[in-house]
Amino acid sequence: MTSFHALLEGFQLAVTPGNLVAAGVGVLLGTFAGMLPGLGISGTIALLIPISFGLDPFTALVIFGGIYYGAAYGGSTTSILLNVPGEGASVVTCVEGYAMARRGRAGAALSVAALGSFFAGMLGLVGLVLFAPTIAGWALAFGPQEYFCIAVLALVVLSGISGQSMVQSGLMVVVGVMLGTIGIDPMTGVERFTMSSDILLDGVSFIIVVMGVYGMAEVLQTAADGDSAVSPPRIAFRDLYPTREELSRSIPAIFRGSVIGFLIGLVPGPSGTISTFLSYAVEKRFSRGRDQFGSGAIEGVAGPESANNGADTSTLIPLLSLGLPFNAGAALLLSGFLIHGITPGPNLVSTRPDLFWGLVASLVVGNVMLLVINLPFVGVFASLLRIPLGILMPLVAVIVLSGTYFIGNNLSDLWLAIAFGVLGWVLKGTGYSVAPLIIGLFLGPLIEKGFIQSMVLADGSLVTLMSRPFSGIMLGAAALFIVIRIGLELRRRFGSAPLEAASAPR
Amino acid sequence: MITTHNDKNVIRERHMQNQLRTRRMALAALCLAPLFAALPASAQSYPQRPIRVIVPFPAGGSTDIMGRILTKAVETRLGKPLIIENKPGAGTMTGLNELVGARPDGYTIGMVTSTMVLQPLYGGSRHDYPNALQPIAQVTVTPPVLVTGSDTPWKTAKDLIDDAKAHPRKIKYGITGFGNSSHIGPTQLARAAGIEIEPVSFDGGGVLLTALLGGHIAVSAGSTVDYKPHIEAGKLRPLLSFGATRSEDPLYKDVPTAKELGYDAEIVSWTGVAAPKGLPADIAARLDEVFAAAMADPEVKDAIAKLGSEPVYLNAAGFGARWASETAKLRQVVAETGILELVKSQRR
Repeated sequence: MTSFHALLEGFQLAVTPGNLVAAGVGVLLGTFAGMLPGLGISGTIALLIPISFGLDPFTALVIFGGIYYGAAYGGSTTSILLNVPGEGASVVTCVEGYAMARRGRAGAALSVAALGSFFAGMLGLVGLVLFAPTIAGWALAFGPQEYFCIAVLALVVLSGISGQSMVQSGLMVVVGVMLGTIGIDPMTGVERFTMSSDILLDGVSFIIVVMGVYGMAEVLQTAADGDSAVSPPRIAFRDLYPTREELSRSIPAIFRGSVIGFLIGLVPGPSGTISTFLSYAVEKRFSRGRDQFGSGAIEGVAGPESANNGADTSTLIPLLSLGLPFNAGAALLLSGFLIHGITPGPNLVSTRPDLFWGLVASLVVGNVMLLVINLPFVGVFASLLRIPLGILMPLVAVIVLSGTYFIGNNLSDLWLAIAFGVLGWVLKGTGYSVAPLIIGLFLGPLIEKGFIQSMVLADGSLVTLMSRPFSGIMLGAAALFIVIRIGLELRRRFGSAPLEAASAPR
Repeated sequence: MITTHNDKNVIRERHMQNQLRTRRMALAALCLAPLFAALPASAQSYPQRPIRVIVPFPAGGSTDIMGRILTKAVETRLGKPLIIENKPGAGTMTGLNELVGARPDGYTIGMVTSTMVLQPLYGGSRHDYPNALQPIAQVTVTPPVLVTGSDTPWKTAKDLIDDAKAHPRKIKYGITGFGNSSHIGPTQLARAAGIEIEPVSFDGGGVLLTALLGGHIAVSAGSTVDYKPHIEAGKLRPLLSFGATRSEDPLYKDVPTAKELGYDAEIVSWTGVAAPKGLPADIAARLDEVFAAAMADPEVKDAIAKLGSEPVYLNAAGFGARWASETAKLRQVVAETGILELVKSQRR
């Protein structure tokens, strides 16, 4: 059990007063970074890198690790309370979380998000300690073919996420995919639909669209409702925390979300966002509260929030054991490490076991701190909703617009966010859900890129997509899902009306 | 909303510019500010207010971090803060356009990379950057190195070229964008060696590296920095360097350059600092001086080296000469290799 001893030594390093303070500072900064849309982990760590020169390398590492972790916790707060997702991974939290907040259950949603994040983080760290060297290699088995197939599967599974008619969902997905084609063609470098403007050259930013169609649209909706807009019911402090029933419903969702997150985090790319989408889809179909989805089901918060943290933790496995950052947050963590002369990679555990185990231990410490910090604040945050709508909604608009500006320091992004706010409001008013549009916009470019790369690599042979084990299974699952959907639909339509079915030609 | 925001900014800027404290004087200054701005700034008094540093990449990228390291060292020498403003987008062109459009008074400078020479050649940029900007300092130079996974059959560049000759179009190489150094290097090599290899575009260096390590792509030409730990761990094998001379790094010193092997293929990537063209001579001299001092600072050198890049300083004149010579050379290269034709035909 040498690694157990090493971990104990890591804890000795992590709980020195200086490093405890560092972990605390890191998780607090991270929580704020996650909470403020647009700022995010990248900006925070980048700001701190030059300041961290004077610190002991390990202490700097602990701070960076804390920020990385804290940001994953903080992301849910604005989604649940204000319907403003600060990052891709907290988009689905808006759907059920904000609905819960409107019912007066914001506190329960926030608590469950914190508990789920804690559990997923811990599970991820256990996975990291036990399996890191073994599963790090699996991550490399994911090539463009696998990436294409997982994105196709996700699109097929998620396109029905909104619960409205298949035609409406399908239409929105297609519009999303179309928006995703704006920008530079990944195959040839051709500019598509940019109208020769620099603004559209990089495509329509996913996160800006999301802030528009959720946050901004909500502001417009409230303004349009005028006096008939209702504030969420006021509730006693005791009722801020989850009820026994809410907790018992959340536990399986947290568990499922953590596992989904852990597995998806091993896939290169924006795994946090994909894992929350998949977790949401799973909860919507299999959880006990699946009938309440759309009107604030607690599983729809517990699952995705756990998945997000699970993915962020397991992304550390390829980072620490291969030196490969699979997403933007991990890339920044890598820069932070490098600047202090630490190269994550196959040799880290053997050459600097103190750092490796110390970091793992400090992440455990940070995780506990986050729970301790977050739970008491649930009441404070939830009471934000007692602010009258006439004051709260302008504040939300400010948060959305300043967050949008933070992303690229670009005024034209503000116009884009406002335009999508109007679009989101119109769609809402006409009974279309924006969730499928978001999914199309997010997955469309991934599918296109994966497909083009796969085809160039295989000289245009579609067979390779089916013959590779991972990708074959995922494509098969997607096909099966479509067949089942059609079967269920046919049974619903004709099964319930046997006379009509009998008279139908087929 | 947006107008008030702008107005506020203008007011704040003028406020700082004149170091005023009372409201009445601020009001007077508002009227007089254009006059002050029109007066030639002198080097003794420069800088009087914070300097804006435009970084054409998002916060946290390697250029951004390099910029932060450098500005921290420069601000202690200039005595005024240097404030990084990230303006990512359009393959650095959003930030470069903003830099070109700024007033050449020394209060706006920016980080630039080698793409500023390439983009005008393809005709897609709004300005001819090497002529619209003024050099201040070169910070790093990195020649891309051609690598392959350790389990491929190619032990040397010659093995790869022989295999490619025997099986045209079978070998695929990863690139991080059409027309950039990861594309130009191998294209030059293919042309010089008379082989056909096909590019596959990836989103960025990290994604490409993952595909390379997973064996999904056979070869790629990328930064010595990104590949270093993986070559040390025996997961990647360097085949040849696109630099003018061999690297001094022990890890890369046995890697031959394409030139040595008899193939006319050479390209490097660099990072530096520039300003809009037309800086007053004394301010340009002052910036030249402080950046030289910052680049000689062991702490800066050490930090850049730890990031993995080689700090290679050139002063303003040397950096400017590089812009001119590379523009001339690359214009010929992109035309001869057909990359220009490829990129241009797609823009139409």
